[in-house]
Amino acid sequence: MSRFLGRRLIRAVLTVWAVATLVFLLMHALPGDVVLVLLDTVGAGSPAADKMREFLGLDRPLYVQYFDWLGDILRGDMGTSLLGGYPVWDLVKSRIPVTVELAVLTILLGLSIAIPLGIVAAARNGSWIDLLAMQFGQLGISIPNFWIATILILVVAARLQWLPPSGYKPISEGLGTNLLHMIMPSLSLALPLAAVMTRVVRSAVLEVLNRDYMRVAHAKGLHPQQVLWRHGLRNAAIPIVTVIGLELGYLLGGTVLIEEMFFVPGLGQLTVRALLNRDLPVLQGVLLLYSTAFVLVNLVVDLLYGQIDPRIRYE
Amino acid sequence: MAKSIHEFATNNAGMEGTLAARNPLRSFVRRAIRHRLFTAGFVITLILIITSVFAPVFATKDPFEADFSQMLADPSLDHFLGTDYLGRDLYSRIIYGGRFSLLVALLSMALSGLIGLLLGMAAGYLRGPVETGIMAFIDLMFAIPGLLLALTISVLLGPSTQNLIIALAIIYVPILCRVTRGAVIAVSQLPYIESARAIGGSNWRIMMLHLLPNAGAPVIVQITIGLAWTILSEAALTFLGFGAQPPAPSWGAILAGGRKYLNTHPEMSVFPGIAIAISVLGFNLLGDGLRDLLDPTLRER
Repeated sequence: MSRFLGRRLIRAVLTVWAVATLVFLLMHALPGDVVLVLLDTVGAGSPAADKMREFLGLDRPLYVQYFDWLGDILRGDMGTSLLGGYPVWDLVKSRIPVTVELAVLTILLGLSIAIPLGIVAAARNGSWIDLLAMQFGQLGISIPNFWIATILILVVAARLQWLPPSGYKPISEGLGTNLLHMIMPSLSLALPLAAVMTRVVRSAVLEVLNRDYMRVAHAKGLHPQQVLWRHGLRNAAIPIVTVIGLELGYLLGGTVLIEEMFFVPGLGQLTVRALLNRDLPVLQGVLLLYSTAFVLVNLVVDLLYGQIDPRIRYE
Repeated sequence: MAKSIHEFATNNAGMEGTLAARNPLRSFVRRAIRHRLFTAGFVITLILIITSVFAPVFATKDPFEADFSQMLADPSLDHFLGTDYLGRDLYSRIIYGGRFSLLVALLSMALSGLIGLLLGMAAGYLRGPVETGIMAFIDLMFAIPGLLLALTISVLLGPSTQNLIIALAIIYVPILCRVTRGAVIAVSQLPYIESARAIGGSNWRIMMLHLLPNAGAPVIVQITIGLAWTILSEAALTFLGFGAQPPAPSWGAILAGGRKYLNTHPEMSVFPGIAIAISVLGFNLLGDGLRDLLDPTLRER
């Protein structure tokens, strides 16, 4: 187990390093001159532009810039924003918990729809509820999350006035107020996620429904519900957990749109600001953070396999 | 004797029936019509294609023409869905929006398909270090959330329709590459590939002539689903302002423009969203249906 963990950790670190390199190359190899963003009134060859390039260290060879940047990252320095000169880490760190909360709420909400719906659909294969689940699965992945957000704002906030239309309140102002503001953002992201997960849960449970151990559980007199939820769900858990890990990419991308729409001050909103201002150091930092989160969560998913199914041995 | 002739005739008729059913195209069409979800997807897609190709016929107004005497008009016989903040006819803009979405989706999937197929075939057929290199790079791209990478590429290249197509194409390459590689690995074990190699066929010839047609089915399915994904992502990027630039009649742009008028003129926010959802649903159903029809072993229960 510990050897597996070690090897898997090294692979995760290597992946993050390679992603960092890819992000660095993306920022520097693609056309688009940072200096001209800052000094948009002067030409590329002007003395002012050259001076700025020297100041930012952009006149050095690419590999020097790369190792410099990598060294900084390892020391926890993600560079400085081109606007205002704030350290990127300072801009980023207060926003991480906000986006994490949004992501966690979305996954919880998504699963609390998908698991019951998927299990019942599988248990009554071919019934009206199965049909309903399949339609939901098909329709849910076809509706853009930012349109769900628009409709929620229109109906729930503007017309019914049940929820505040946008904004964010930190947990320090009370969990209730905080959650009230998070319902619509997380629901917008959770519905498409729930659609995907319903299909996954349904087919995973269908897969195990006729296995021998299910028949044994029935035969020894367990209540059918107990068979389904305890034995069925547990054995169907591996594909479900795997897909959650993979869907995190969709979810993190979605936070960019949803945070911008609801004025949630998370990493997604920062990303939009960075994109608008061509603030490449911030963009670089956010991309790196998102990718690291994705790699780490999928590492955890790999490790969870053994917890879910003790038959899985790591060598 | 008469009886046996009769028997012969009926047997022959039966044979004819099976022969006709074995005509692959006819049998495909027959199964396709019976597959209700595929048919639904096909009809939706066909409607989208027809309204896009004949957009000037379906549209009642010029989608680009501002009419300041008609700003934010309510739906009427003249303007079926009302007008936007520049007095442009919303219905006509949605029709042209479909044309724009479809064009962006087709072009970026064509580009993505070309790169993905070449990389996937090279990885799946040549194996060895070529495969290791390609797949390591593909795995890396999976680690960066797709929408974020598309946004970054689009912004760095400078937001425009052309760069939007390039950005969306790049993001979908890893998926197509993986699917192609998987299909190619499965096919390249088969004896006829070995025979082609034995008679001295070049790698390029084998890939183009034998692997491409025989490993194509899963790739076609994935590209169809990719069209749905591209329509969604195009709308998302343009909605944020980093995709197609005004005055492109993109559904995402109409939605973004409608945000300010959500309370007073929700039409601008409601109808483009419905148009996106129906088109995406169409391609998703078509893709799932094709998967069922082309490869019964992949069938979802």
